[in-house]
Amino acid sequence: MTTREIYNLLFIFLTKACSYFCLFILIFLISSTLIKAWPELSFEFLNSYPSRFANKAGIKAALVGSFYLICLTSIIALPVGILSALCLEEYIPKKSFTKKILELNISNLASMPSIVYGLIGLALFARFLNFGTSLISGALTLSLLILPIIIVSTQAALKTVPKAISLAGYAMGAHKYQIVFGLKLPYALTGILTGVILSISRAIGESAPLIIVGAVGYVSFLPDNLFDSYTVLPVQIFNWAGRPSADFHNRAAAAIIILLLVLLSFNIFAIYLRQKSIRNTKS
Amino acid sequence: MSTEEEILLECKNVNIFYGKKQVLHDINLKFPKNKVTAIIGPSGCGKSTLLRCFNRMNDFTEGFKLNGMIKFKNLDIYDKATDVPRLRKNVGMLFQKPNPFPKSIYKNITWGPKINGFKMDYDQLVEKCLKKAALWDEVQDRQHESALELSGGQQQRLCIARTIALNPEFILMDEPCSALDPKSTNKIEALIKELSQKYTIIIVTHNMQQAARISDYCLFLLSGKAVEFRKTEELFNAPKSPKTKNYIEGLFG
Amino acid sequence: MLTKRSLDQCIKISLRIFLIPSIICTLFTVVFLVKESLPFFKDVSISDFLLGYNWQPLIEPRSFGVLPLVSGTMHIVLISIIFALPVGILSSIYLSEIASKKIRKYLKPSLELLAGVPSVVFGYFALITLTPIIRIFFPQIEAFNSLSAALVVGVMILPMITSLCDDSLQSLPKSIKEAAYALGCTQFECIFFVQLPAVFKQMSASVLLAISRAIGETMAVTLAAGATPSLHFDPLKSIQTMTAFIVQVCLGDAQNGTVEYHSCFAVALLLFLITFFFNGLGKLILKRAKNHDY
Repeated sequence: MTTREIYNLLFIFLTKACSYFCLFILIFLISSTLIKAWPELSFEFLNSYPSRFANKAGIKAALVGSFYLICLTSIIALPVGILSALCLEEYIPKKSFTKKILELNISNLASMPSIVYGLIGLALFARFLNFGTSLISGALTLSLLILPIIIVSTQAALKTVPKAISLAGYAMGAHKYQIVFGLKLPYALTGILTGVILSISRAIGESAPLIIVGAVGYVSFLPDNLFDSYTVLPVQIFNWAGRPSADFHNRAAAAIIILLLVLLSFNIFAIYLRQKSIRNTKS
Repeated sequence: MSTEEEILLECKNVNIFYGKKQVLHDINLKFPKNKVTAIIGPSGCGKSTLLRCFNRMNDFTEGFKLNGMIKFKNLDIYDKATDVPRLRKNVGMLFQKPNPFPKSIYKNITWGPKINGFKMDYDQLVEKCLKKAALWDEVQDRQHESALELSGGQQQRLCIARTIALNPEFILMDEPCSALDPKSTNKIEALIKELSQKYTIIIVTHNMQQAARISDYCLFLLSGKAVEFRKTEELFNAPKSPKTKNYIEGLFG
Repeated sequence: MLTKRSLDQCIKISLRIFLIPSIICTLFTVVFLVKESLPFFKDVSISDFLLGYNWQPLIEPRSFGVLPLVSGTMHIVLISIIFALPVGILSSIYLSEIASKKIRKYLKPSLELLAGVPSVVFGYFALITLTPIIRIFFPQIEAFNSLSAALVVGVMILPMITSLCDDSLQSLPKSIKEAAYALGCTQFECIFFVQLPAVFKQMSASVLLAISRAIGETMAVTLAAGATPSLHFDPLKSIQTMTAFIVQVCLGDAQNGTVEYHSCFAVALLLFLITFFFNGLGKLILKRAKNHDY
């Protein structure tokens, strides 16, 4: 074998190794955590509040808090995000300066570190609007965080609508809003939903901004109203992992497994939706 | 053009520009009602541009400018007060590449009437339109399946069906058969002949034989100018202009 | 009566209202960060802040040189990029050029799953699992160290690099490959000497975007890298990044109005500017690369 052929084979092997290495990391991460978490997982774990004692600590408050928070965040962020993207894509003239600035703005917001969102949330919602360290402050902060993701993915989905369809609609005497809401939006729906699901998955896993804006690590009640204190699963994990005791580390591991299960189901749903949209537009 | 023919559409001193480039020069024409008028000419001579003026679809093209007047039922369609969506509702359009909506066959036909606020028995409407478009036999059992699963020829006939669902005054066709196979083309040509009994049709085609087969009147456009506009038999058998003669005999285009 | 035309106009105007939150967010961020940092810069000069190498804002004797925090952040960025860049590019080559369609169909989504793992999980992994493993090879490693944290940050930015490079390789026209193969080169030579140079701009952009992401990473470094700001180059020792410091101040009880409190915002402002710079540069290069497409 010539040197060239040897280099070629080595190279191909290296690329394969790297790809499967990534997969291996994922599997190693999950399994090592699962081993630590397995003995801790029980119904009692899901149904108890945090405690000073590791063997009594549970994620009930965190689970319910996460659920409430995500519902609130979705109610706020989804309409605003989807409608802004619609406005940006359909109602602002293309190639105009306004559009460029607005898109630059959103692109910049999309890559701002999440901790900065936390500080904004603290200043704007917790202090200035006086909502305090409550559920609504956290929901508003998270909404700001995922807003750019929703906008970008909705815009991308709208861009895939073939021009021929809107031309056909106009030729039949439709007004613009009938084209946008009656033809374009339904066509782009699965793409939009995929983006929505991905942004919600992101929100479920966020902890830094929520810590800043007031999600606490020790909550032994379920939030009653919008202005109550709360905790969420990632913050609970942070709290337990940061303690010196190994028992709490194992509780953290168990909470991680639950969190990953929730995220996995969301991701699988998103992949299913993406396959469905490809099928719809190909036939 | 004999004076007995009723005029539906009239162009007066129409000049069209895309930005600084002039694409149509001094068009003065009268299109008769309930007849098929074919617009023929070599590629790029402005046929589609002229066609798209009649339902103001050119408004979507950047830099489009029209000088002159286009009268439809004695109203200038380029007047500022014109209700453009209403105009488009009254003028049907068939595109070069069939473009059914990614919805069911049924919904493709009912979408137009629904957004224009027609209230009627939609099942009957769909059956009537599909029959008129010679598609009923083939799809009556699968009206609620996706329109995208039909063949090219069937999709174009569906587009015809959805156009006539709005009961337009006239129908514009922009090379409707150029993307289809000969068999589908035959079906659609037969359909056009039949439709012309009720609707006025203006069809752009680069296929001269097609124009000779199906049209009553023929307009020959060359480099943005109307060279000849006469009854089809007269134009093909005894063209007045040598340019028309050359084109028909295949010397260019 | 509401005509369709007026409804159309109504919708056109009312939709613009939804653009307001994103605009306010940016404006508020900038104004707020600057406003809260100003009191800090009254007490501490900018040169002392940017060039000082002693960061001790919370206990006496106080000192506000931010270089240790920046150095901590750079530790993380450097090590994570050294790890993630080659692995990411090689993986993208495998996905795009070498793997069969069937393998790609299953491998690509799995790698995207990696991108969905929250950073707090990676922080836990670095602290609890990875550091003990590294300790086997380097027993002198501290419980909090920059190496574990940086490695997991590398894993976090890996999917970003892989998918950007994969997309750019996919968008290359086939003719380039065909020309190279027709001249008799091996797959390695074609990829390494023809395709990669052709997507060099996109690859650089992906590195810049990944750097921006690594700089802004918070939870993994807060859990695993430590809280001791210091200027050293030993990855086996504890450090503190800018982001970890911000978390520390917010979780602590610095009083509103004190220099310590405002130091948090000064650091946040610096963080914002640095990520904005890297991100803007990366996006600009991507845009230029798109315009010069084949």
